[in-house]
This record gives sequence, C-alpha cells and structure tokens, in this order.
Amino acid sequence: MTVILVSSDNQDFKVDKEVAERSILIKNMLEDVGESDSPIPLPNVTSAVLTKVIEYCEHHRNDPVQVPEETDDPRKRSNDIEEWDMKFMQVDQEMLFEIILAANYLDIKPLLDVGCKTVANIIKGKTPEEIRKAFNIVNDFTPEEEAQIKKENEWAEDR
Amino acid sequence: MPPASFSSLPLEITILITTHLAQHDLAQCVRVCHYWFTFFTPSLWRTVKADDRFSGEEMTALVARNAHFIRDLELVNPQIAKVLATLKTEREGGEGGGLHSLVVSFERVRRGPLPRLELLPEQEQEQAGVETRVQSSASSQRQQIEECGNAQLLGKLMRANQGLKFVSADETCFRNNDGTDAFQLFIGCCPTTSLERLELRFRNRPSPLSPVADSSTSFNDLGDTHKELFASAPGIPLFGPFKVLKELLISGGNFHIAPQRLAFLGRCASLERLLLDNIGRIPMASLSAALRMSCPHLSILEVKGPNNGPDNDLAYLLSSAKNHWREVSLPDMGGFGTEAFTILMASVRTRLEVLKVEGWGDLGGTEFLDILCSAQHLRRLEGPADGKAQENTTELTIWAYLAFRQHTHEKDRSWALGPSLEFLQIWIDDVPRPDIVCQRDGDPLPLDPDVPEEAEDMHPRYDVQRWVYTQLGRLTGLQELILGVKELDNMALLARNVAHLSYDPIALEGSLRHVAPTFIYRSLEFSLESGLELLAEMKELRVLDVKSTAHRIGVAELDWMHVNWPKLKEIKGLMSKREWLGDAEAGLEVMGAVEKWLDSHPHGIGSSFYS
Repeated sequence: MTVILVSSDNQDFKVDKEVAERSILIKNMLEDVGESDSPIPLPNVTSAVLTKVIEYCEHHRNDPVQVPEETDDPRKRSNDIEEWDMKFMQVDQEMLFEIILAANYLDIKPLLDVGCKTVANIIKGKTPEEIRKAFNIVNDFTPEEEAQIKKENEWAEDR
Repeated sequence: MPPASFSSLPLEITILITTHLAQHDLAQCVRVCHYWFTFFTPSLWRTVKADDRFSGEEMTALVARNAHFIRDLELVNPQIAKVLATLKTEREGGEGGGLHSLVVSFERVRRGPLPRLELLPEQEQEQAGVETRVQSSASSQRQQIEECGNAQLLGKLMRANQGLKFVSADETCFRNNDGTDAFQLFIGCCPTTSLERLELRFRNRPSPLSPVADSSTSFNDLGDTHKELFASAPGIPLFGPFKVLKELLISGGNFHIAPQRLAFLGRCASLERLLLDNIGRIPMASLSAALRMSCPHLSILEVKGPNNGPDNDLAYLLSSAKNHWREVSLPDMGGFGTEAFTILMASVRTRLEVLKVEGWGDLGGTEFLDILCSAQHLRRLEGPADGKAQENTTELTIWAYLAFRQHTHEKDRSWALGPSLEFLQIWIDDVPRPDIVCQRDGDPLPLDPDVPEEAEDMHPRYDVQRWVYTQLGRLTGLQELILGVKELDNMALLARNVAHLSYDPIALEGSLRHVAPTFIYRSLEFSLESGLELLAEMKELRVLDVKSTAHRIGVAELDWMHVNWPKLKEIKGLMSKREWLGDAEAGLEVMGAVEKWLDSHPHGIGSSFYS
C-alpha cells in the first residue's frame, strides 16, 4: 500500500505506507483517517527536505521500533553514528538544520537523534573561535568578558 | 523564511544537542557569544565534580552563583559541600530543582586518622599557599567547622535537596570528627520520599575505628537494635520509611557492616534490587537475615567482584529474598556448591526469569539439567562470561547422552523451559555422533571411548540429537540461541580443562588442536539431518550462534532457516574453515556455496527482510 505526501511547494511523493509510517505524525494521521487515498499535506517540509527524509526512511524501513532510553544520564548514551547515516548527513548546514526541524515536526525520533549527534560532532573538539566560524556566529564579548568566562570555566576543562 | 541555522532550532532540540556534548565542549560553547553563554551555562553546570579545583573565594562564589543548575554532583571538596549546604538551606522550599544525584567521598582531603571537614584557614594557607581568604568571621567560622563533621554537613546538604534520587557515599561520610560512628545520622538525612538508589561504599580493610565485626549468624533482634539507635542518636528526626528506594548498592565492607548499620534496612520495605560489589564474607549472614525480614519485594540480585566464600556463604546470600528471586546474576564463585544450589532452585521453581552465572564452582551437568527441567519462567539463561572463568569452573553444560538415557530408562527429563525463554546460552556435550565426518590431515579422528556409538544398536542414528532438538523446539519465544560460549579466547581455553568441553574445533588455533581433538564428534551437530527441522516453531529467533557445535550449515540449511525463521538476522560462527567436512576441497565448495547464497540475500537470512 502506498501513501501520497505533499510538500510545502506542492510536490507529490508516492511512498510505501511502511516507509511513511517511520514518521509517528504520519502514522497517527493514517490511523485516525483509516483507509483513505487522500494525499497528506506536509506544509512545514519543502520538497528538497522531504526527498532527504524519505531517503532516510526507505533505508531504515526495517529497523526495529526504538525503545525509549532508560538511562537517566543522557551523556552515557553512545555518540556513534552508523556509517550510512553519517554519509546521509553530509549536507550543507542549512539542509542539516532543515532535516532536524523536519524530523522534529514529523516525529521521526531516530532521525532527530542522528541530526543532533551530527551537530554535536561539529561542536566537539573545537575552540570557541572555531565554533563561531563553523556556525557563522559573531563574537559579542569584550576581551575582558572573554577572559573572565575563560577563567571561570577552567574547572570544566580536561586536565 | 530565513535560512535554517543553529538559532532557528527550538529550545528542546538544542537541549537534546547539549546532551551529546562532554563537559569540555560545553565549556567551549559558553565562550562563543552572549546567547550561547546563557543557553549553555545550565548544561555546563548540570554535572559537576567539586574537587580541589574549586578552592578559593572566587571559585566558591562561582559555585554559589550556579548552584541552582547543578543536578548531578560529585563531591570531594568539603568546602564546596559547606557552601552548597548553606545555600540550599536558604533555597529550601523553592522551585522543584535541586540535586538529582550526589556522589560523595572526602577521602582525598583526609589528613590524619580522622576524616575532617576541612583544614582551618590558617593551616590551609600553610599547606596550599592560598592567601586570598576572607578572614572577617574567621573565629565564628572555625567554631562552626569544629562542631560540624562531614556527616553533619552532608546531612544538611541532603536535607536541603529533598528531590535526590541517587546518593552514593563512602566511609568518610559515616564518621563524626571524633571518630564515632555517624552512619545513622547519614542514613537519617537521606531523603525518604524521592531516593530511588542508594550506594554505600564501605572499606574492605580492618581499621581501629571500625565497629565490632559482625560475626553473628542470626539477626533476630532488629526491633531492639532500632530502639538502641534512637537512644544513641538524639536529635535526629524520627526515621520514616524510604518510600521509593528500589535499589541498594553495597561495595566493600568485610568489617564495616555491623548489625547496627544494617538496621536501616527496616525502613527499606520497597527495596527490589540488591547489588553487591566486592563484599566480604563476614556480613553475609546478618545482611541476609535483615533483608529477609525487612524487604519482602527484594527480587533482583547482582553480585560482582571476587567472592571466595564457601558454599554456605552463598547460600546465606541467596536466602535473602523472602519471596524468591526474579533475577540472579553471580560472578565466578568457586565455592558454589549443593547448599547454595538448593536455595537457588527454590527460586528457579517459583519465579526466576533471569539467571546469569559466570562460574558454577563444583556443580555440573546433573544440576544444570535440574534447572532446565524446573525453570518454567526463565527468560534468559547465560553461562560463564567470555574468558573470565577460572580453571576449576564448569560450564552450563548438558551431557546429552546421559540425559537421554535417564529420560528413556529412569525418569522424565523433559525440559520445563518454554515460550518465555528469550535467550539461551548452553553447551551440549557428549552427543553420540553416528557420522564421523571429522578429519584432521585426512585421517578420521579417534572415537570417543566414553560415548557408546550406534554400533551398540541401542539407538538409531541421531536419536540423542533429536531428543535434544525436541527439547529446544519448545522454546518458541527464543530470540537468541548460543550453542556454546561466546568468543572464548585461546588463553582462557588453555586455562581450562579443555578436554571436558565440546568446542567447535574449527575456530581453534593449531596449537590447541592436540589438546581437544575429541570436541568434534562429541558436540551437537547442527544440520537438517540431525534434527534441525524440529526447531521450526522458533519464529522469534533473531540471532543464532553455533560456534560450539559441529555445524553442517550448507545451502539446504540456509534455505530451511530462511523459510522457517522469518526474524533471523544473524548467524555467528557460520564462516569458518570447513575441515570437518572431510577434506578441505569439499569444505571450500560448501563455503563457496554458502557465501554465494548470502550474497544473493542482501537483506539477511530471514524471509521478511526482502520481497
């Protein structure tokens, strides 16, 4: 069985129901509507982003449903990203954030997770200046403020 | 719409990102810009290890300023404990924040035989060369400090953080400054409504300060002990029950767990899980009695670390669950014997769902068969962990021929295990093999004199194997089946008496071959011919590990599994040298066919993985 998804720029995407249901939002919608051929509008997702999201869902169509993490401390969670996902996420930053926003809207938790890990990996190991460069952020600290904050956070640095 | 960027992400997503960052990276993030400073500061301060980096007026002020962000605190520096204790008291009754977890040890700042709150200001100056210290209220501060030991301070901190879910403390927190026991004070201050996990780290060596070692064998006077406690600890609020304390971790403590200290278990009626790490022999008897009396819901036991106690020590421990165990996980216990086993069996028969034992001491095949024939509720059954077992260890091994003989001649040996079992790790040994397919350097391997072959005409071909498969076939809920030991390394194998093991010879190094040539035809064969089709109802099977069988998985077997086990994703031990087939050439041929088969089924073994 297939489902038709409509992107914000009015493009139709025909996908297997199984693939579309990777999105909990769509899954719930389909359950509410029941058997129906009417297309599902996704006004928050552009066709470029939807193409990527569908690619992800196609690849992961057979994954077991994710069990919620029980651990209280999220930092104990693994930061590993599967090889395919890593390649999948090699996009420009604007697309990366679009994918994260779409995953959040469509409620595709594994994709949201991979997106967040990818952003975290961009930050990891960088100096503040390198982070600013990576995200195109302007430094609005005075040199005094900068020195003060650096000093105050030395306890959190690796020794 | 502006292009998506970091700042266009909603707050809950950005918080998700921070959970993937380490402390070091968060410390960089706050230095990026004002927005990031405000945003990342709570995450940065969420987890704090308050050690000697937090000394000096400026740093304590910094802690005070950010204290409300701290959720998980590891406390080594008593100075910070004091700052937070005072501060939190002021904030008491405030918002629902406060600490979630607290791990304390003042060991590193102890000087002399007694744990001390802190050095007095002038001493500290001498020692650390710290000079910038406010002296205005030095004398009153000193007085406070002298009155106030670690235990009191910690108590104050805990009472100010009534949302604490996890507390971990060691012996340095259980003493007053004068060396007297402050354990009751510590326990009395633990939050009763929120605490879910409590960890007590005792020391494992005798100390002149330690209370009298607990050498009693019974513990029947809990009520009296309670009264004594209240008499000896005036001023402590009446202890209420711990409402949600489900998990207790005790590490160390061969001399330190006196009956008086165990009295707090009387307040732990909701306790479900007990974890013991490196705990000595001495406290077992009274610990067990206290748990039995006070904790009716106790049902999960996990023991770690070496335990060289005798059989009855373990028996004591295993008898701590009044209403039997649901899960038991034990290390390699050399002393494991019949007494402990008898008590374990009471749980096996009634409700045991998970059993993991790394070493079975003196026990062997007869006992294991008893487990299999009694355990109706098991979900997981695991043998020794990889390579950890010692020389004297026997495995979760079933002597198939013996079991079969008993079954046909003496008594019913059908397994009680059923559809609830999800994970099974087992060795099937002493299987008469009618086919001598195993050869080395072209010569058939010698017959095993212990196992009657079909020449005796007692049982036709594969009878014993088919009996084993019939038992296995009832495990219709099985998700992972390991026939043998996972990734046993060669050194560990050499350390054992390998001749008793049925081990897949294929994976063995050449140096080991001469030690264990008989494995090959004493182990279970894994093929359609030997009874594989009796496992057709294992519809849930996802992982199959056949390293320790003389498997003969060829294309016919793969086709069969493909049809019958729709969820199977992985077969371990499949790819190996095929010498067992008789000659290398035939082996290579099968291997080639198998590889080809796998290549043409890119989505896995099971039929549901492609269409």
